[in-house]
Amino acid sequence: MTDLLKGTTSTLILAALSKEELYGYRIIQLIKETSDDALSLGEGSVYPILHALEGKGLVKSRWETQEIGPARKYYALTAKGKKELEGAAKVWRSYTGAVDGVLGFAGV
Amino acid sequence: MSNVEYEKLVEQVLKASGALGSAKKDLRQELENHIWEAIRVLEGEGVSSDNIPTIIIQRFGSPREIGKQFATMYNTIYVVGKIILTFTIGLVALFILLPLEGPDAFYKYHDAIEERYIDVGWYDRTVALHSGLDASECTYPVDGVENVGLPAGNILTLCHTKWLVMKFLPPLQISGTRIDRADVLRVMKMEGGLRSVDAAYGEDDLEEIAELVLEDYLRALAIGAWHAPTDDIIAMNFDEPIEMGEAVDREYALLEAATYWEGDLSQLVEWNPDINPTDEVELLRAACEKQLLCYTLRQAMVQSVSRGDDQAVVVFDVQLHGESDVVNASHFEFQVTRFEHGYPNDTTDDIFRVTKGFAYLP
Repeated sequence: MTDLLKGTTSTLILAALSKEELYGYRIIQLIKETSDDALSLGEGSVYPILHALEGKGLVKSRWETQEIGPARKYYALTAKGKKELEGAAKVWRSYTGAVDGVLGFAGV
Repeated sequence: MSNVEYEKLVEQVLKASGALGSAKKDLRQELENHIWEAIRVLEGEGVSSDNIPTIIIQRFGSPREIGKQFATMYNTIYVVGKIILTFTIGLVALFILLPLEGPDAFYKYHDAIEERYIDVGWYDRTVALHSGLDASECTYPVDGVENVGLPAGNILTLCHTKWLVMKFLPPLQISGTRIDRADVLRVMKMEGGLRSVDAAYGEDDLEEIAELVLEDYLRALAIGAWHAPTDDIIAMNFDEPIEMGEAVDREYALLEAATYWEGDLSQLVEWNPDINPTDEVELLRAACEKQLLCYTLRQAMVQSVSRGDDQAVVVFDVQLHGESDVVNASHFEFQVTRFEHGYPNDTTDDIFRVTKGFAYLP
């Protein structure tokens, strides 16, 4: 699973942001929850990816202060990010569909 | 965030990231928020407070590795190194590609990047930029090339350019103003034309030559005026006067002449019957040897620009100097017509047609 995850973390993060804006730790939790704990990211590695996505204009961010605790940095998907996500999802489905086809041929 | 271990983790990330100033401050705040959220969640799950730091640090991953990932964005030395590497690749590519491709390099279609940046420049530096673009596209994502490499390349190019189109554009408006590659090609052709005219004429024809060369220059200037952000009168005083009589490099001039005239040597012979056309190369070489022109364009001023949606009339006031005195001063009028379907067509005339109206002495 770890190898498969390589290169797809950006897509997972974009997908996590597809419904609402989220802060870093919540993104990590959401990916974990929605994958039934199958996808557990190195928590620190999410942040460089988020910053890189922001640099590419795929996500945007804003700070929100809290009554208790340090301010949260919320990330939201941009239109460009949404398009990127749709493209990545298409590629991923095409890939998994192809693998399914071969596995189906093997009857496993 | 009183726990020393957490602080150490954050500091390690920050140190490895090379982030400075507000980037560092933001990153610190974001990491502190991450730890705070993690503590809160783990406490909610009933994890013993003694075990929480270990779990958080373990789940976070290697702070040095994560910091290094930030370094690609925030570390100044890394980013500067990337720029240097990009242009080193470009220059290496120049020396490999130029002998192979020569002027053809200009005719390659790149992509939207080229539309967005002005790369009018000195011949070899423009090739370097284009070659660098090719090479660096293989090395970095297109976004990276756009954000890092090209602006730096354009700065280098602009620093060295002496070409007139740039004189029309205030620096702050450069990045927002599109100059078609047609302009670049026209300027390049002008240089070739200048040298080949230089090579082909005799001393007696100086005035005629000067006018022909000027006309070619002014055609490009008229296109430049099309792009000028305002209709203000624009003066161009040349820090480096444009020498019309210098064959800087004769081999280069031969190549230029052959390229510009597309090998139509008969025209050269017609203009200069003293040359014996026994051998094409020798013919050109002999023509270059003469280095006949001595005029220098010292100043050109856009006297007026009247612009419509797809047409402009540009009037120039130009001064030609000899060794010491003004030897000619004229007004030139050009009509520029723009054709929308141009880019990425390779032929200049598909984009702009420049018609000479008239020239007259003031």
